[in-house]
Amino acid sequence: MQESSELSQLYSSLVLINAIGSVILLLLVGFNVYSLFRQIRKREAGSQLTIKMVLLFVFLSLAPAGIVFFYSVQFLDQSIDSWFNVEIDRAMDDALEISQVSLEQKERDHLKKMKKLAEHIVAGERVDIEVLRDSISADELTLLSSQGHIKAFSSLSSTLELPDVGNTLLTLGRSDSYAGLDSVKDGGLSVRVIVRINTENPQFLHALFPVSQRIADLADSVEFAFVRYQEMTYLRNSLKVSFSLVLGLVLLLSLLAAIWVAFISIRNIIAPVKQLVKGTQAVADGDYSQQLPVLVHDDMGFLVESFNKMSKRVGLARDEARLSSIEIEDQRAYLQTILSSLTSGVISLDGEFNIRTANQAADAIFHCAINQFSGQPLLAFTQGRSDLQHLVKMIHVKMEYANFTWQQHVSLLGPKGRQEILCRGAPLFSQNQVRIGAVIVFDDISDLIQAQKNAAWGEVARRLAHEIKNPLTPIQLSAERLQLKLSGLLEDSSAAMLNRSTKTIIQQVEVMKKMVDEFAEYAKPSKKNPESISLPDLIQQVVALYSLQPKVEFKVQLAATVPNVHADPIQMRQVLHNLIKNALEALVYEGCITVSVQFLDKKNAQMVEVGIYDNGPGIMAERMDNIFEPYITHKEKGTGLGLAIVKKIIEEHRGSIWLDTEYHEGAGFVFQLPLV
Amino acid sequence: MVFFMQSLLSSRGVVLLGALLCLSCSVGDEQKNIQILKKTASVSEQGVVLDANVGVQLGAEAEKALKNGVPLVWAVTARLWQSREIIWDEKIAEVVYRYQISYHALMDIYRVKDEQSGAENTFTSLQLALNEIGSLKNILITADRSISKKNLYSIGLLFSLDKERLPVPLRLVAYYDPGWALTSQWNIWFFQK
Repeated sequence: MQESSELSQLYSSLVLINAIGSVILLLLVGFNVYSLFRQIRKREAGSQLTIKMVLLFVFLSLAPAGIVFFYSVQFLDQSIDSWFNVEIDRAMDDALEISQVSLEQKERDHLKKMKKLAEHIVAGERVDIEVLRDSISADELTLLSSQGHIKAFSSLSSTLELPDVGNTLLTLGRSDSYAGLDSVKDGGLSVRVIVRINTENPQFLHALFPVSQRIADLADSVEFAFVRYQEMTYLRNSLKVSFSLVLGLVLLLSLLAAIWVAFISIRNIIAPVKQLVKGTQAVADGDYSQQLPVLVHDDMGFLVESFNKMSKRVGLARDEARLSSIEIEDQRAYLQTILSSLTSGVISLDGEFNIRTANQAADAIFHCAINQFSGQPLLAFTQGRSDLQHLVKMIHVKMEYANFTWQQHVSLLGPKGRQEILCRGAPLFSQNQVRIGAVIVFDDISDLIQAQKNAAWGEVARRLAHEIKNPLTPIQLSAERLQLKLSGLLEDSSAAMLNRSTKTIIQQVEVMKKMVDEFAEYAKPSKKNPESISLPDLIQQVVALYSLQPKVEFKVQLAATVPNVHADPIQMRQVLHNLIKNALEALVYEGCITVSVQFLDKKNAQMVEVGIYDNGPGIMAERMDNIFEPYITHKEKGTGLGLAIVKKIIEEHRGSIWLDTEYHEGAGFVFQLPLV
Repeated sequence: MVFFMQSLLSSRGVVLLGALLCLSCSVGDEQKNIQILKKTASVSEQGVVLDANVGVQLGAEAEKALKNGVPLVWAVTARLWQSREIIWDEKIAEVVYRYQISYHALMDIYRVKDEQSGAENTFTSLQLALNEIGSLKNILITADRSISKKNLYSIGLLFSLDKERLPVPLRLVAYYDPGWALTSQWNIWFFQK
C-alpha cells in the first residue's frame, strides 16, 4: 500500500517524464528520418538497406506492441466494466436508502418527543433540564435563548464541555424544527434535534440523542461502501482513459525507442558496409592504397580484412604493371632513340603491309615524312613520287614471297639526284609461324659509291701522272732536239714540215702535261683555308666578272638574310666559276642565267642553298646519271673535270650538290653548304 | 516576473510546469472561479499572519466529482519575500495549508477538514462549506517576528485545488480539462511592519 501510494504521488511526474522522453525520442527519430531521406535522395551507400531494416524493426516492434496494446485496452475496458452492473447499483442505492430511512425514523421519533417536550415548557416557568433530558432519554439537552445563549444545559457526559450551537441555529434557519444526523467526536453518530418554543420570547431546545453503536457501525459501513462504489462509478471512464493514455504513452515510448535503437543499431551495422562501398569506389577510381579500419572481428570484419588484402594485392599488381609499362616504354623510347640515331632508314610494317613506324633516317632518305602515313599501306607515301613506286612494288613482292632475309640494290632518281639505295628486308613471324609484319632497312650508299669512284679516279690520276707524264718530257726534248739538229740540214719544204711536226708534238705534249696536271690536281686532297665568307657577296663578285657578256642576262636572287658560311673563298669562287662557265657554254653565250641564294632551316640543320639555272637546252636524261663524274663531257673543248671538281669541293666542305631534275626549262644545279 | 520564476522552482512547480505550459492557453478564463476578495497581513505575537477571504466556486465537473465521493483538497500557499533593489527578492518563508472538503451521502452533509489541525466541521450545503474554506484566518506565514521596519516585504497568496491529491485516474483529466482549472492568480502585495 505504501509503494502504491508513492507511485500514486509520482504518477504525474512519471507521466510527464514519459511525455518528455517521448518528445525527445520523437525529435531524435524525426532527425534520423530526415537524415535518412537526405541519404536516400543523395543515393548514399547503405541508405536503402537502412530504410528496409528500420521498417523491419518498426514492424517487429509495432506488431506485438500494438497487439498487446489492443488486447490490454480491451481487457481493461472489460475488467472495469465488469466491476459495475445494475444490480450492484440498485443494491448500493437501496442499502443507503434503508440506512437513511432507518435513521430518519429515529430522527422523526426524537423530533416528536422534542415537540411534545416543547409544548410542556411554559414561558416564565422554571424547568428542570435534567428531568426533561431524562424524560426523553437524550444524551444532551440545551435550552437556548433567541440569541443563541445557553440558558440551561444537561448532559450525560461527565465533562463540562458546552455544545457548539453556532452552526446549529444557522442550520435551523427560519424553520421551527430540525432533526438530522451528526457525527460525534468518538466517531459515532447522534441525532441532533432542534425545536422552537413558540412563546412571545422564542427559545430553542437543542438535544442530542444517541444512535446505537451497532446501527452507527452499519450505517458507516454502508456509507463507506456506497461512497467507494460511487467514486469508482464516477471514475470509470476516467480510469479507462487514464489506462489507455498510459498504455498508449508506453507504446509510443517503446515504439520510438525501438525506432531510435534501430537507427543506432543499423548505423553500426551499416558502417562497415559504407566503408566497403567507399573503398570499392576508391578502388574503382584507381586508388588501391585504401585500407579500411577493421572495427569488429565478426563476419563483416573478415570481409573488410579480405577487401584490404584484395586492394593491397591489386595495388601491388597495378604498381608492377605500371613498372613494367614504364620499363617497356623506356625500352621503346630507347629503341626509338637508337632508330632515330641510325643513319639507316628503318620502316616496320604490319601483316597487312601497312606502315607502323619509320625512323628519321628513312624520312631523310626518301625526302618525305613517312610517319604521317602510319597505319596506311606502304604505297600511300609514294603518291606524287613516281621515283619510289618501283622500289615499293619491289618491296611488296619481296614481302609477299620471301620467307627469309633479303637484300636488293635499287637506284633512284630522287629530287636531289640519283640515289643508290641498299634495301634489306626481314619478315616477322609469330610463335605460331604466322606472318605478322616485316622490317625493312634502307641505306643510302650513294656517297659510298661516289667515294669509291673518287678513289678509283684518284688512282687513275696518280697512274696517269706516273705512267704518262714521265715519258712526255723525253718526247718533248726529243722533238725539240730533232728540230734543232735537222732544221738546218733539210730543205726548206722538209724543214717546214719538220718544224710543224715537232711543234705539234711539243704542243700536244704540253696539252697532255696540262691534262695530267689537272688530273693530278683533281686526285690529290685539296688544301683548304676556310674562313667565314658571305656567299651572296661572293656570287655578286663572280657574276660581275661575266656581266660584260652581251647576250647573256644574269638574274641574281638574294634572300633578305643569309648568314655567312665557313668555307675556302678561293675554292668557292672556283665552284661558282665552273658552274657559271658551264651554263654559259650550254647557252652558247646567249640566254639567261639565274643565280639564287637562300637560307634553309630544316630539322635542326641550318644551311645555305645556292641554285644556278640556265634556260639552255638542258641535260639529256641519259647524261643525268653521271653528270658529276670525271671525263664526262660533251663539249668540243674541255677535260670533263669541271663538274667533278665542283662536286669534289662541295663535298669536301661537307655540302651536297645535285642536278635539279624537276627543272625542265634548262639545266639547274643546286648545292647546299652547312653553316657549321 | 521574479516571483513567477521562484514559484516555478518550488517543490511541485516542476511537475506542474509541463502541464501548465501545455494548458496555459486554455485555462486563462476559468480562473475567475477562485478569486481572492480580501487579504490583510499583520505582525502579531505569533509572527506574520495572514487573513483573507477567498471566493470559491466549483465548476460542474468538480462538483459532480465531489458529489460522487471524491474529496477535494485545497492548497493555500503563502510566501514572504524581502524586497531587494538590485537582485531578485529573497524568499524568507513559504507555507502551504491544506483543507479537504468531502461529501457524506448518508447524512447529505459536507465536511470540511483542516489538515493541519485535524479539526472538522460539517455543513448542510456546499456553499456553506466553500465559504468556510474561503475564510482564511490567522494563517501563520512565519513565526519569525524579527522582520525589520526598514525593509519592504511582499506577500504572495495562491489558493488552488491540489490536483495531485485527486484520484490517479482523474489527475490527467484535471490537468488538461479547463473545468478543473480551480486556482487563483498569485496575489502579491507589499507589506511593511
